[in-house]
Amino acid sequence: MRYVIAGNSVATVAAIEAIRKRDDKGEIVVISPEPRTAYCRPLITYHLAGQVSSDRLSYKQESFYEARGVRVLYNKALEGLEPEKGRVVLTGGEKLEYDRLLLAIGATPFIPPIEGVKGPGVHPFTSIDHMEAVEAHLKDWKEVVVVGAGMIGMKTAEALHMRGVKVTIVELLEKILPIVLDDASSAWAQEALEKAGVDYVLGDSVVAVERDGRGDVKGVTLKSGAFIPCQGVIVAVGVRPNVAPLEGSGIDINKGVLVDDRMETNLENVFAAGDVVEAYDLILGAKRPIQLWPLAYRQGLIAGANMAGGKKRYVGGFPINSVGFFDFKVASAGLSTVEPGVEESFEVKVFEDKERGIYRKVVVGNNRLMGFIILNDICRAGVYSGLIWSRMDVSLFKDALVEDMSMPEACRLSAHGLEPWSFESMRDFRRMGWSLFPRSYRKHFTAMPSRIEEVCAFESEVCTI
Amino acid sequence: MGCRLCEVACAVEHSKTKDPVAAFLEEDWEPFSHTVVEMIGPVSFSLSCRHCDEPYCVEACISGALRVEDDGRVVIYEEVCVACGMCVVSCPWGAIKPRKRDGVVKAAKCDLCPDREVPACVAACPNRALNFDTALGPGLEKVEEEEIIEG
Ligand SMILES: Cc1cc2nc3c(=O)[nH]c(=O)nc-3n(C[C@H](O)[C@H](O)[C@H](O)COP(=O)(O)OP(=O)(O)OC[C@H]3O[C@@H](n4cnc5c(N)ncnc54)[C@H](O)[C@@H]3O)c2cc1C
Ligand code: SF4
Ligand code: SF4
Repeated sequence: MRYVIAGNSVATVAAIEAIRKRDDKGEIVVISPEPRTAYCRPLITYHLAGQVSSDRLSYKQESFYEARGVRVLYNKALEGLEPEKGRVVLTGGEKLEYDRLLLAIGATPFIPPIEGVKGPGVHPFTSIDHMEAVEAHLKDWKEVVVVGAGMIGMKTAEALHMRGVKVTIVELLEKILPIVLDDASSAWAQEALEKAGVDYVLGDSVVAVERDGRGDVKGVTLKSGAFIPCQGVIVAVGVRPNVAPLEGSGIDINKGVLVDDRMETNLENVFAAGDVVEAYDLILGAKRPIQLWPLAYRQGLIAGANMAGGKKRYVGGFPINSVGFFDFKVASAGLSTVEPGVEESFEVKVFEDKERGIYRKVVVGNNRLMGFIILNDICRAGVYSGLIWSRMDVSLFKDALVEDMSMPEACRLSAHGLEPWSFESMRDFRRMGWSLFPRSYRKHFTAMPSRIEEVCAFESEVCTI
Repeated sequence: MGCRLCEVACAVEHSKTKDPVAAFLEEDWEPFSHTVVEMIGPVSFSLSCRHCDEPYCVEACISGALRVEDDGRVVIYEEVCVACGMCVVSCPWGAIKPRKRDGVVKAAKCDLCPDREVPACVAACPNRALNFDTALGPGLEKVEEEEIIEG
């Protein structure tokens, strides 16, 4: 059995672990265009800021691959897929046969078609190579424009600011972290930016990168006509699943590679995981790409297990995020902002106390927690994620969720509202985890998988997948 | 009971001197317990890391600071942690918290007391409500700390 894994990042690492749990003999070959072991992609901004040394960037060392008998082909990329022959085409035309193939080739940064965007001084920021290129420029860059106020844009802006560069952030939408934050919480972020002395322009976009006679960047022109002088531009307007090498292979692609709940594609023996896929979103109830680290890990683990003959199902995922910059910290998950037009379907509760620095918002739909935003004190944010996974009925303690969220609050209210140990309430408690039960109750549940989402998948009437 | 002795025991065990009096006299010491007793009315329970089989926190950790050890313990290598908070939002029990020590923030969670045989919280519980119990999962040893309520 030969397992071929294209890509060498977190999804790959998880898949290797999962394969080796079930099959310690099969040959594993990893295709890695980057000449290094798997590294912590999100840490590149921390490295640029000088907070993390280069030896801490690697996620797994050489020894990880050696101990598991994994062969890594460095400096080779997947260039094509020939499913009918069961083989992949690598850089240089070399062909490699597979019994099981995992596509974990991640995403590529999207570069919008702006005038003058091609050429020196304009960089995306998603890999060590990009980081090194930016690092090399730092001595000549006094001013930089960061296009896009998403997570990568904000983290990069913070890093550049810490390196003494004057940063201006330009965002098309009217918010900082537009996908995550709502207007009110974005105002908190804006305040933090102002305090740090970072300029930002919201609701405007870059229409041209202006260059001098030698081709070097001298500034950007915005749609509003404004001109911002700068020597460098960071483009961080999002990433797209890296599907280019798969075109023409007959694989189902929408925005990303479509996978089922086993992380298998429409092609036999071809699996996919991580940023490249479009998998089930537990909250939206539809497939879409969610490009985050924990999901890439989970998907890699499930793909790996199924490639090696296991039977693991992906019950779906939802965005879970925690990001901090310029003294601003936000934890969020699921559906954290409700788009205009569908407000009636949701109940949104907000608790804001500027003085004490508290902002908590929850989105409740059908009496289930759908998403949340918590600023600054994120201490018990995990409990909210637990509530989303568990799909527990929160109708009895909706207000407590934002005002003073604690587990006992939840338990007391539901214990009062429902018969304490009756079957119904037990089921709800169980979704919250059997850890709440006395020993005698516990034994009923220990036979079940320990992950909440798997437990709730049993309850097919609640989670229809 | 809600006596919260487990919290005290945990905070003391994770102080520098491991002595309650000395610990309180230590200047920069801010008591920090990994376990939290949640109380309301007659019901209380002590909530701490469950050392999951497939831990959400380990999957979420963007720096590789959280790992599952061979014996099933889920531990955090503080020197690697960048305090991003991904694990904090991911743990469905809320069992990981950011902890500020000597001016540096790192994620902190139950480590099952590496210096003792039985975790301090378990040893401290006067009601024997906290048990320490290792269950065998499929092919994997699962260490799990169990504890219960009522009364
Ligand atoms: C700056 C930054 C900050 C981030 N911060 C966070 C955060 O705080 N929290 C969070 O949850 N997520 C964060 N992310 C997202 C997270 O890094 C990704 O979701 C995660 O890395 C996805 O992992 P992956 O395994 O899908 O592949 P990727 O990490 O995208 O890697 C893709 C792999 O495929 C390889 N590859 C590419 N093309 C080919 C080819 N043709 N053939 C073979 N191999 C190929 C690449 O070399 C690479 O090894 C951040 C991302 C960036 C860039
Ligand atoms: S911190 Fe949370 S997710 Fe991690 S092992 Fe403990 S209980 Fe599980
Ligand atoms: S806070 Fe530390 S331990 Fe937690 S996910 Fe981030 S780096 Fe990992």
